[in-house]
Order: sequence, then structure tokens, then C-alpha cells
Amino acid sequence: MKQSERELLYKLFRNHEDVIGESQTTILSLESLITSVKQLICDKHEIKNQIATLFEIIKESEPKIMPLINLVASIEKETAENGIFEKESTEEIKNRLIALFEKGINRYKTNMAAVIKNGSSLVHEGDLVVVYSASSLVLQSLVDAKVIRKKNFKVLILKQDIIKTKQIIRALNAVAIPFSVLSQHNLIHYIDDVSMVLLGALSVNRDGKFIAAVGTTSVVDICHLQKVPVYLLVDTLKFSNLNCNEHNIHKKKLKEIHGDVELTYTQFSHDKVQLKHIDKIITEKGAISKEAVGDYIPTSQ
Amino acid sequence: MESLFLPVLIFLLVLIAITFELANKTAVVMLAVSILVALNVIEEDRMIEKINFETIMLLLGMMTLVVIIKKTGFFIFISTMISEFTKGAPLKILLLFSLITVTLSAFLDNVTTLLIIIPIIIQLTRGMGMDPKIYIISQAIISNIGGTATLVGDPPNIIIGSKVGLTFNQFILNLTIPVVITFAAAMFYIWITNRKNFRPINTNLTKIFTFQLLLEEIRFEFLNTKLNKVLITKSLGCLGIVILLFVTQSVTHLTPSLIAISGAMVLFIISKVSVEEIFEAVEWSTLLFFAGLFILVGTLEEYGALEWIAHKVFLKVGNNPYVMVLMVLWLSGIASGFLDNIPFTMAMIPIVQQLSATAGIPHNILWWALSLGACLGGNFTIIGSSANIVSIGIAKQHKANISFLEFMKTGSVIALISLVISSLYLTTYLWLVM
Repeated sequence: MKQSERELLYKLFRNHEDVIGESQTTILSLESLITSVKQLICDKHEIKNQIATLFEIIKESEPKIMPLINLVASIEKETAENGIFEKESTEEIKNRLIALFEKGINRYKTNMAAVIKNGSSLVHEGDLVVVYSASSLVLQSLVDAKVIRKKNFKVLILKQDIIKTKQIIRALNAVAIPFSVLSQHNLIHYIDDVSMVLLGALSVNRDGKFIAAVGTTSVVDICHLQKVPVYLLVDTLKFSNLNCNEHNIHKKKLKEIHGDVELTYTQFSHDKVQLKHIDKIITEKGAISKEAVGDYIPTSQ
Repeated sequence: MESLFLPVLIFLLVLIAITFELANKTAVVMLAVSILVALNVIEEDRMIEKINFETIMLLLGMMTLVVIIKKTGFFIFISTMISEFTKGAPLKILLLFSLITVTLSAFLDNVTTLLIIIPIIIQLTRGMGMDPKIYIISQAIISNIGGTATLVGDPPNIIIGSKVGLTFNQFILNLTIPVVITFAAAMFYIWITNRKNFRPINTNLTKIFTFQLLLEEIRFEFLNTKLNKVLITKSLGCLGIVILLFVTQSVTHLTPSLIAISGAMVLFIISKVSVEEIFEAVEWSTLLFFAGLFILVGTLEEYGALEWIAHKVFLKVGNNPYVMVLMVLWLSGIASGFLDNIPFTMAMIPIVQQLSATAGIPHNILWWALSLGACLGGNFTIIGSSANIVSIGIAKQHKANISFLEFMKTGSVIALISLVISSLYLTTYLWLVM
């Protein structure tokens, strides 16, 4: 595949991740893999190469989509162990692959449901919850806390880009969770009233850092300094053996002209955040300590 | 002759300025009118008589309807449906979008059609790593072809129909055959000369996967577009009635301009959309441009310039009707490729009226020759029609720069093919009726 075509695919991943979050992008990608395999026309010897090529491209996405990469790695392992490509006809290979992708989707959805259940139990009556870098796991935890656990609480949305902020507002409005929107820089004025901060992440890494939306570092650091509990809601499929620097965080140079002043600046797609400033990591297996991250990295890595 | 010199010179200067986009075309035309008034070439209180208000009102009515329909999100809905249906197959993308373009261009204006189609085709093709240029060029060409089929499809036809009194049905009955054949020939030519760009993607898993993600992105954008179903129903209903009234014009004796304006006003009333908001989006500068051109061409007519051209150029070829028809066709075709076809058409109308009166060619064949030449000839170069210029402009905004030669490489061949098809059609038609 040409480099320009790869960059297009990675841009699509980033666009989806910006709008629907990494978890939903993972599920969407697996569903798209199913549709793609169904539409593919080639002989059985070619399927293996095509799958290998696509998986290789997915593993180098910018930034890396860890749950998708981990699921793809485990599917690769299963196809090798079961000799799927050697034994079957084209239709049977496709059916087996589709079954593996569906298994991956179910596994991930099960993980997500468990994280949401554990996350929603953190919210108590009368809490003021700050959300930033709000993944679908965070939003659904809040929804569950309101609808299933019947807790009454308020949310302080720290304003991000308009697409993400709109997503959060829609989700909260749908279940009548009261909220206010605040600029990230003004959080200090409300910090004394905040009960907790809930965050999502793209990946949690062995080097003691996690990757999250731009601006998360500032929010986490200020809350840590002010001793406000910060909880990270992630499933273990987001855990990675890599260091933060190996995650292909996308960067681009931008130029703005304001009157007679021209400024050029670099913009990164995501932040690297210190795990040590997080109070709890909530996974599908419950709360885990920051030191134990390495024990939960998927074995397919 | 001396008095002829000034209006002819000013008209030629206007033509050059418009063709090469030396300045805003409306400003150029209105300045030319002001100069002619200031120099007493035309009288201020008589210049209004030269404006064909039927054309202006027909344009205004159709523009208003299109602006309201665009507001409903209907076109985005159509584009999204087509994107789904293509499954990323490059040839299907070309075919389906071309069918939509040719149909919409026949009933709505080309520029609006392209403003909707081209961004989505760029998004689709770029998103799949394909070069969008051939798609953009093809849609501009196809819109000119589609617009040729009806009274309201292309500005030259609107002008010819309004000035000469040709009906909507007459355009469809007489021009559908050459338009359909030209469309098929154009599609075949584009495919055969760009076969490697249209190879299916269903043998490449990565490309299929990329397309699936792209389609999800398009679906998401569509879901975030507010689709006003009630307004869509009312708008399409009104448009349907307007087209029906165009078709039954010979029975109702209602002029197309009255039908279009009434349709637009009825839609305003039943839909309760903001009149000010809609009128803000109407291209008033285009209407003023037409008005100014009518005055300029009317002045040329008054001073006998066009009659002189008719006698000294066209009637010199003799009385052979075949030669006359082909001359009108090819001269209009080639001239429209290099000059803006709207002022050219306006200038040709009195000439063709003279020829019709002298040569006695039946069934309005000379008018069909002018229509086919002026509309299809616009495909020769980028500057041949507004649709081409708009397409290149949109492409440039999306960083897909198409040069004059790049366009001409495809456009000129298709224009030549379409003029040959039109020649065969018109000569056969003439042979059958003579």
C-alpha cells in the first residue's frame, strides 16, 4: 500500500476516534473488517496475504488503536494455531475469519460492559463529577449511574473541541443529567466542590504513562495537586507493552495569520499523561493498582 | 458604420474580460452598459425594453426553488445513498454520480448540481486514495450534457426558449436523443481512456476496509445533518408540479417564467421558510449579469451589427439548409468552447432569427443547432461554461488543482464527439422533414 493511502486510513481512524472514541472505533473497525471480508473476491491463497497486510497496517496506525491492535494480534494467533488458511476453501476461510472478528467484538463489548458497571459504582448521590477526555466508557458509566443506580449528581464538562463536547452534552441530555460547561483553564475556581474526575484513555503503557485527549495532562495535574480523586476508566485491551513514544502520536504543523503576524505551531493529536497522578484505574476486572499494569497487558503482545 | 463601432468594440471587450475572468463579470457588463448610456449610444429610459424579463423571472423562480430544496438536506441524502450503493467500486461511483448529475442538471441549474455533487465525490475518491480529478472533470462535462436536454437545464436554453417561444416539451422531444447518445458516448470515452483508474477494489481487502470506514464517516455526517422531511415533501412536490406545468405548457399556455415564479412563491407560502434568508442565497449578481447582457446585445441588434453578421457571414454560404444548420452548430460549438456561452447565445439569437426567416428550415432545427452547439461546445475548455469554472473552483478549494490543458484533454474530445453526434442527428432530422 502506498504511504499516502496508509495516511488516508490513519486519518480515517483519527476522525472516527475524535467523534466516537477509541472503543467505538474498535468495534466499528471490526464490523468493517467483517463487511470487507464478505465483499473480498480472491482465491484462498491470496486471503492470507491480504489479511496479513491489513493487520500490519492496522498495527502501525497513528496513533495506535490498542484495543484493535490487541484483538487483531489475538486473531492472528488463533488463525495460526488453528491453521485456518491452510485447510479450508475460500468461503470457509472467510466464515472462520468472520467468526473470529465477531468473537472479538463480543469480547470487547463484554469488557466494556464490565468497566461501565465498575465505573458507575464510583458515582454517589450529590457528587460533582468532572469529565474530560470522556470516552464512551465514562459517558455510559454516568448514564448507568443515573438510570440504573438512580443516583442524582451533577457533571462539570470541561470544554474540548466542539465535536467531543457536543457528544458529551447529547449523552447527558438524553438522560437528564444536570451539567455545566466550563473552560479547562477555569477549573481551579470550582475545584473545592469537585468530588472526582473521570477520564478515558487511548492506551495505558508499561512505562507508567497513558495516552489521552489533548489537554488531559493539565487537568490531571491540577486535580492531583488539589487532591481531587482522578479515576481512569479503561478496559485491559487498551494496555500496551510499548512506551508512549512508540504510539505514533500524530503531529502536524499549522500556520495562522493574524493581521501582520504569522505564527507556525505544532499540534499533537494526543497527550502523554503520568499514571502516578491517577488515583485508581478501573477496568473490567475491577480497580487495579498502577504498579500492576504490566500484569494485565494482553499476552498476544 | 461609425456608430456600429463603439457598441461592437465594447461588446468584444466585455466578452474578453468575461472569458478570461479579468474582473467580475456582472461588474464588467454593468460598467459597459453605463459607458454606452454615458456616450449616448443607448437611451437610459429605453434600455429596460431590451431586457427579456421572461428569462430573468424563469431564472429567479428556478434559483429560488433550488435554494429551498438545498436547505432541506435532500441532496446530501441522495449523495449518501449513492455512496452506500457504490460499495466503493470506482466505476460505479462514476456511473451513479454521473446519472444523478445528468438528471439534476436537466431540471435544476448545473452550478447547484455541481456544488453538491463534487465535494462528496472528492471526499469519496480521496478517502479511497484515488485521484479525484477525472471524476471532477467528468461531472462538469456531464452536467453540460444533461443541461442541454431541457428548457431549464442550461442558461443558453433558457435564453433561447424565452426569446423564441420554444416550449419545455419541444426541447425534450427534440434534444433527448442527441443528449442521451452523447451521454453514453462521453461515459464510454471517459472509461476507456482511464481504465486503470476504474479497476474494482473488491480484490483488495485494505481498499475495501478503507472504504467501509469512509462510508461510516459519511453516514455519521449525514446523520448529523438535519433532514427536514416535511420541507422535502413540499419542495419536491412544488418542483414536480412546476415540471408538470412546463410539460403541459402548450395546453395551459402559461409561460415558463410564470410557472417557475409561481411555484417558488407557493412554496414560500406553504413552507413558511424565511423569504429573506432564501433570497440572500439567490444569485442576484447572475440575474443582473443577464440583464446587462440583454441590454448590450439589444444595442448591437438595434445598430444592425447582428444583421450585418447574419448577412455577411452566414447567408454568404448560400441556401443549402444542411450547410446552414451545420454552420450554426459548429460555429456555436467552437465559439462556446472559448467564449462564455451566455453572451454568445444572446448574440446569435437575432442572427438565427434572420436565418430562419430567410432559409425556411422547418421544425426549429436551426434553434436546436444553436442549443446543441452552445451547450455541448461549453465542454471544450474550462472557460466554456459556468459549470466548468465552478467545478475547477471547488476542486481548487479541496486542493485538487486541474489545469486548463488537463481539462481540455478530456473536454475537447468529448465536445468534438458530441458535435459529431449532433451533426448526424440534425442532418438526419432535416433529411426526414424536408
